[in-house]
Amino acid sequence: MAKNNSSSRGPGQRQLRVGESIRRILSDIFARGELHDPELAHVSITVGEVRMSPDLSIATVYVLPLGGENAEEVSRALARNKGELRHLVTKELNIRFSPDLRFLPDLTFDQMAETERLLNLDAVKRDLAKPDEPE
Amino acid sequence: MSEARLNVTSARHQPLNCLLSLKVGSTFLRNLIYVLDHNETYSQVEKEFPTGLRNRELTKAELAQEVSFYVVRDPVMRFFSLYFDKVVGKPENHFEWIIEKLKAHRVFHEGPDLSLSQHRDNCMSLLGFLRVRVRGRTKAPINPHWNKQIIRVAKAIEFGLHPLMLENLETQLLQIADGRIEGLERAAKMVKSRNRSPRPLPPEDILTREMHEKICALYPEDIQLYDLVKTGWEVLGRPPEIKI
Repeated sequence: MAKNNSSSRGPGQRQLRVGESIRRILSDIFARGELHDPELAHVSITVGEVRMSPDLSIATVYVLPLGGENAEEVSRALARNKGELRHLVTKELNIRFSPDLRFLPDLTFDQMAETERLLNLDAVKRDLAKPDEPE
Repeated sequence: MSEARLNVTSARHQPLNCLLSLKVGSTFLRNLIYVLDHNETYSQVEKEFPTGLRNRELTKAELAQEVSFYVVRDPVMRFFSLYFDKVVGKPENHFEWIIEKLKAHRVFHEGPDLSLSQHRDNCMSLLGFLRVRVRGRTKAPINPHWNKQIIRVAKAIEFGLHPLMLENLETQLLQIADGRIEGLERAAKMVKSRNRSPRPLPPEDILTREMHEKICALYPEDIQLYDLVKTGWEVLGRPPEIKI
């Protein structure tokens, strides 16, 4: 779902493959509730995307709590637990290195908020109302 | 202050409660509950779903003591279900007013043998139509056939109902029932087939990347919810605890 890519040159196949593996592993960890941080106890988290640096040393993880609220706080809470998460990911991931995990809020909802803002402009509303008038 | 309660559809003689959502297996579940209540199928035509089922308002503790659940569906498949059921397919199920609007304001192809590209045109038109409505841009209330699943099930999440997936509904329901619902397996077999509209082409063939992106943009929370429930079942082998 997430589209947080701003680089002009696309990632390589290995970057994509490792990123998707880490996304899957983290999703599974969250599903199993393996983290015991109280700030994360009352939230369901999805991992929209994991972007790897070209040398695979850094994994930028785009996360979002269900519904999109408090994404910043959840990212910070995950960053506090990144040592444990890194350990769990490395254990599952069959590679020699251990990528550093950096958590950021998934921007999709921000982009949607921006879309919502645009949709609320009077001019846009008038235009949107044209094709389908209220029944 | 009285304790909060959730209105659910329940079997009359069995401890089974569900929160029904349109285009998410509700006809199947209504028929299933009818069979549990009456020990016979509602009618020969399963499309006519039974009404007059028992509704109850239960507390979180009461719901936890019984088999209580809601169902989620892949938003992409739910979109195609709407398209095949209400826009093309059997005329008796059509939402004629949608078709009129699509014909008047957008590209819309009719006929029994539409091509792949014609179905794609129709789907893109329907998505344009939904875009205005799902975001509440009209004065009309948002129709539950296309309203976000998360809006419908938010209370169910809050009340701790078990999330099930439509594609594995019978298996998952039997698992969470754990023998507490007498005749459940038999009832599921009696409701022979799901309420499935004819599909002239597989949704996977019609779906394009652009269409997928539009559905995701329209239903981002439902994509999240479905992902959480699916991952949870795959990882845990039981219903995950969803928190909102």
